Amino acid sequence: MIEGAPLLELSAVTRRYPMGDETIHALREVSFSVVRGEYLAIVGSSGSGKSTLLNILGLLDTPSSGTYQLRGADVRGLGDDALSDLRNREIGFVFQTFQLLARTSALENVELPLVYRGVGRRARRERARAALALVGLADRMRHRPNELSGGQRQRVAIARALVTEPSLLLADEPTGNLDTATGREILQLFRALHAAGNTLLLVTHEPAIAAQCPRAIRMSDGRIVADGAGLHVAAELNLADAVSP
Amino acid sequence: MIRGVRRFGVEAAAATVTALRGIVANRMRAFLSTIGIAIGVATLMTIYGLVTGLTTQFTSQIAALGSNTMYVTSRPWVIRGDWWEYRNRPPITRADVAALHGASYLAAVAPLATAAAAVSYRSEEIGAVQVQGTTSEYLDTSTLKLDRGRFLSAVEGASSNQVAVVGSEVVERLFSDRESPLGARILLGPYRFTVIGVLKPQGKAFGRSLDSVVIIPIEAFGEIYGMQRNMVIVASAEPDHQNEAEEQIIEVLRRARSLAPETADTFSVNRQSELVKIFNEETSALFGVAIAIGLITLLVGGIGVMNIMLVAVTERTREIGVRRALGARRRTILIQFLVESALVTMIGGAIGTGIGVVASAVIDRISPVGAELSSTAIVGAIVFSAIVGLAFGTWPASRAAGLDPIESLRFE
Repeated sequence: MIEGAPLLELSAVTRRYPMGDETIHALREVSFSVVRGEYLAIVGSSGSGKSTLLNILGLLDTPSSGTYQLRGADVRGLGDDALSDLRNREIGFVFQTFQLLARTSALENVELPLVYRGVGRRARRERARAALALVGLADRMRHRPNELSGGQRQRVAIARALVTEPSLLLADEPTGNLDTATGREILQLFRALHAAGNTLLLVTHEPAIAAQCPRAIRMSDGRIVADGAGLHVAAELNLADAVSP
Repeated sequence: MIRGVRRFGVEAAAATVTALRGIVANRMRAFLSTIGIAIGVATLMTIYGLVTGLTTQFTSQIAALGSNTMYVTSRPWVIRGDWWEYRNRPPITRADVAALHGASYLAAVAPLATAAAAVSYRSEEIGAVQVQGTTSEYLDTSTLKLDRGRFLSAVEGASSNQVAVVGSEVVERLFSDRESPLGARILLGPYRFTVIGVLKPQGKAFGRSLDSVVIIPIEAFGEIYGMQRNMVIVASAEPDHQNEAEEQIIEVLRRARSLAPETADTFSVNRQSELVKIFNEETSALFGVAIAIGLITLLVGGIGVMNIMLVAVTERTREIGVRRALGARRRTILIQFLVESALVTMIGGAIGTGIGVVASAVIDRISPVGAELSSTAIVGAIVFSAIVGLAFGTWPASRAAGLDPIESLRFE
């Protein structure tokens, strides 16, 4: 990959799907790019298209039209297996509801993506341990999700997303199910990961969170309405909220 | 390619661990869902054990009849159709035996008349011994072996000499260990017979001892018991010429009995192989019905497992979504659920096999009929159970694999 070339680039991405007789335009001509090492938030209210955008960025969904290039390669036309493999290699997901497997230790949860890459047991263990240590859970590896607090669960989920050393970490409302203090800790962890060189993209409806990110993209009705410094976009959003009924 | 194989191995191993953990966590449900399979397999195993036991027993018993031996009787051994047709057949006579003596394909021909009678020696008496009247050639037509002494001579066989060849059980029950039965004079009713030979033990056939027997010359038999209507002719032929021998018997006897070409035979030629054939026909019909019952039970069990797997897929929709998001291919999810389904039915199959083994052992112990289960049958049953699991797991597993990851992640 050429130095400085965008990690991902969307141009005129549109996503439509039929609902009954109507066609829903979830995304309309969305274009932006992200370079390696960026930390950005996608902010918007529900129905703004941010979830659809997240699904497309995470290779769970594909554009109806427009192009999505990940590391310079167009993902259009890739089959389900190729998309699965690409998700495994390039994307790390962090969900609002953690989405850890029950009855499965933290360590094994973190190992899971490596299973789908065919990594042997011993190497998996080692890498999962390292990832858990990175998020500060070295002493909770044998615990099961129901034995962990919300913040700890989200840390396990982050370790699971990091263990494959993905190009892009995608977090969907990562603090949505956490109390304020714990949410702040998670955001601190994100900043640390950013500082360590990871590329993070965070989807949120909270302007306060977007404000903490170096860059934020604001979505409304399937379009990008603002793209700039987090603080700036968040301030604009607060203003917009203030004037709208 | 090698990467793919490696990945498959890692995924399958992980799927097995996940499946086992799921089964242990829901052990009651897994157990209940697998009961149908267990019952089906137990039924099949028990039936299989019974039939193989029966077959082994029957084959060994029927061996006493001799595979190269033909039995000419007035009525066939196994009457299929109308018994009435056979009612007027004349008995087998000495004349029939005499006629067959010239038949070129027959190595040996002997008459055989039987009666149940008491036999005694000094103070010992045995109630119902089978007394057989025959000639010297009988030894060559049968599977009998002499242990000591000699068999009837040609002269004795054709005479009414009062000599007897006795079975091993008769010796055991009439004589002490120190006494030699040879030369002893045993009593058949009021008649004294000198023991000239002792037979080797033969074992049992059809619930009766073959060793509780006294063989005497046919003429002597006739004088004591009369020439009964139950006389048969025993004949042996070379293994390669069984069919020719049978045709020859028919031809010779029809001529001896002056049967017109259009009339039916008034006698029957029976062979051991026919009995085996009939036995196989009868048991295969029974076996078929029993297998059908077992398979229907397995079908019902399989549907039960399918149902549980469908429930499991719905319950774990979110888990499937997560796995897909983390990079699991559709095939990976398919394998995971197939492995789980096969494991559940294999556990059922193992339980069923256990029950089948115990049931067969109990049957073997308490009933006269044996039951046998080979290790091949046991392994086969468990493998078969796994195949049932794969078959009935296919639909739920492909449903799981076909789920949309986005929808699955949102599933509540």
